[in-house]
Amino acid sequence: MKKLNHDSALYKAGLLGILCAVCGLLLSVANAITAPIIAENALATIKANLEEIYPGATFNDVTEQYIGKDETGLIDGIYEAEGKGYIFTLHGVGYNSNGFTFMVGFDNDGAISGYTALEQQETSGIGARAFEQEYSDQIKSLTSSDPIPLLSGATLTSTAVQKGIDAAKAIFNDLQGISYDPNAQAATPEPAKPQPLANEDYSSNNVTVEEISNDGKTGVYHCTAKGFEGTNEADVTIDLESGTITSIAVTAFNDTPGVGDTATTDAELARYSGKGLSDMIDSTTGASMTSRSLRAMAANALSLATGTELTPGTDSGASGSGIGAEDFSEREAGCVVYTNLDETAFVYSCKATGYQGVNKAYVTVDTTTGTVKSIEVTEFNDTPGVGDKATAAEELARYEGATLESTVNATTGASMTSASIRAMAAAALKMAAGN
Amino acid sequence: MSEKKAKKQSLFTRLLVENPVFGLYLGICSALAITTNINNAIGMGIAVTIVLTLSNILVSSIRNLTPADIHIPVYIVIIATLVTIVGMVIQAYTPSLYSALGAFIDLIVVNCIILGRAEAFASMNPIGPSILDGLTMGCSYTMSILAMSFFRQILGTGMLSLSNPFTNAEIFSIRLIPEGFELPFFKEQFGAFITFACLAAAVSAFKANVEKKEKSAEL
Repeated sequence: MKKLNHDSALYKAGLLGILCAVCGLLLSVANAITAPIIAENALATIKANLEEIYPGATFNDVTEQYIGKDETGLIDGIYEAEGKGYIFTLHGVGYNSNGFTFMVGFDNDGAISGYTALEQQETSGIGARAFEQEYSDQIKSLTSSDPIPLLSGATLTSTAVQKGIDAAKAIFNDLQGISYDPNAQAATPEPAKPQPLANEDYSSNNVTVEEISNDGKTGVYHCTAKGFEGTNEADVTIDLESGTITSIAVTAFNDTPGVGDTATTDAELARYSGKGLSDMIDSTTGASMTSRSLRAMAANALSLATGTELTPGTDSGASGSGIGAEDFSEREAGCVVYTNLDETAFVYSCKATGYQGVNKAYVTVDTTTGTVKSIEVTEFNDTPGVGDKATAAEELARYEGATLESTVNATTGASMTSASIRAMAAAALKMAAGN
Repeated sequence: MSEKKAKKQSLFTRLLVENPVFGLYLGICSALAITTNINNAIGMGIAVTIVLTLSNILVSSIRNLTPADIHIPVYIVIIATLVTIVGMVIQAYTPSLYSALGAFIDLIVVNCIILGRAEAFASMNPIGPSILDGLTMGCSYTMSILAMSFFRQILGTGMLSLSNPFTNAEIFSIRLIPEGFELPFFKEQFGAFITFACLAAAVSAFKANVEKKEKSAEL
């Protein structure tokens, strides 16, 4: 071994320095080559799913960067689709204790671009509806500022979905600097307004009614109806003279204990006494399926006792004229809760098709009286000089105080635009009624 | 170990008697940890062989430039760099192997075999013999952990299987012990120690036998 000046400290430091520099260079070369492949591997498993929302996009895994902001622990992964938006993968627990995973995507401007289950084993036809087209279309029509509505009959599953999306919204909105009201309540358009007993559709309840006794004054009927998972049975006592229910007693309960049985408590059942076919009985919150089986039995017993046929789907209350009864199916009107001014005045952001484009408006509704307070057109896409006659301030003033039963005449010469405004007013009122 | 005597012995004997794991008790940590199936053993064996051979080449090639008192830091820098690069390559091209071996890839840095061979052989010998030494030691390390994982996989899972780490496609899989009769504790650390002890005892017995023969031959 040669040892010329090898013992000098300068030589040693120099040697180590050069060695470290060479090794550092080698490492950065190796990293440059392998890093993209490693990142791609990590994405490969999820990429097929991400492509469903943004086909052909370039994805970056930004989970590490942003997940620290998640306070709920529901977010599994965050992926950026370059120039398009963000996708969150999430998990939640609905009815099935194994839980489920799903993903939700937001466009950079805030619109929800996709919502799909990744893995779920919720009950088919019930909780699984939270991942089917109807609900997913509803979610995809929203933006990151909108509250996520629940799905009635699939409350447990859609609540878990709602919590997950709320967590994703919080991070996404923070990321994009979108301000929104995280505590806004979603309107639940699905249960609509409660219908009179005779008008509800009980076809899925497979109701049977059997007369047990009838002394001309009082009749007792033994009924069965399918609830959430099993068939419930009840004895319904009816006052034949007035055609109303005296009492209802549940004799067999086969739905989920602790869930469905909130609808069968004495207090809940007491709500049926004195009710006839034209009365409405509200669903018990959180037990809508069991509750409906009870209404199905009550209605069918009443129908048999009074000899009145049930008329599902027709609501006599709305059969008059009024904007609530008008057919706006071609307007494709829709509203979301925009904000509320106080506890009774809600502002709905609505849209509806007019003559050639989609018009948008803020409809303020007094929810206690179910009347329109004001309408403000925010976007007008019909023919200028023609359709905009219907959007003039004095025309819009005609909606003040309108309910679903009121008739609002079309603006002459702007009937299509006018119809779109009526459609939005009706949609907002219906939404407010369902609230 | 004298190099002269080693040359007289056959390659097989040399691999067994101078076996780093069972003969010299080096690199036992990874041998105990990752030998649950032969896939891991082959992957780890190849990784160690590559690092060992490359580090021997580098250490040997700068042996005349390295002052004695800084040789350990120099070796550590070289070995750590090689291990990190091998780790990156494994993670990029064989992700399944990477997740199976986990931290033990990074721990190749402190595998005594590599530092041991750099210190004991490569720093004193030219490049050619150092390459040969790296390959021999690497192969015998691979054989050792392969033997351990062979027994542990069969006894622990009742199966022997191999799959392609690049595609995860199964190459073969045979059941040797009927289901329900396997001994799952062989998959655990306890089973690793038992297997190691039995194999080390066998190698030790073989070594004693060889030495006895050599003595009688000398006489």
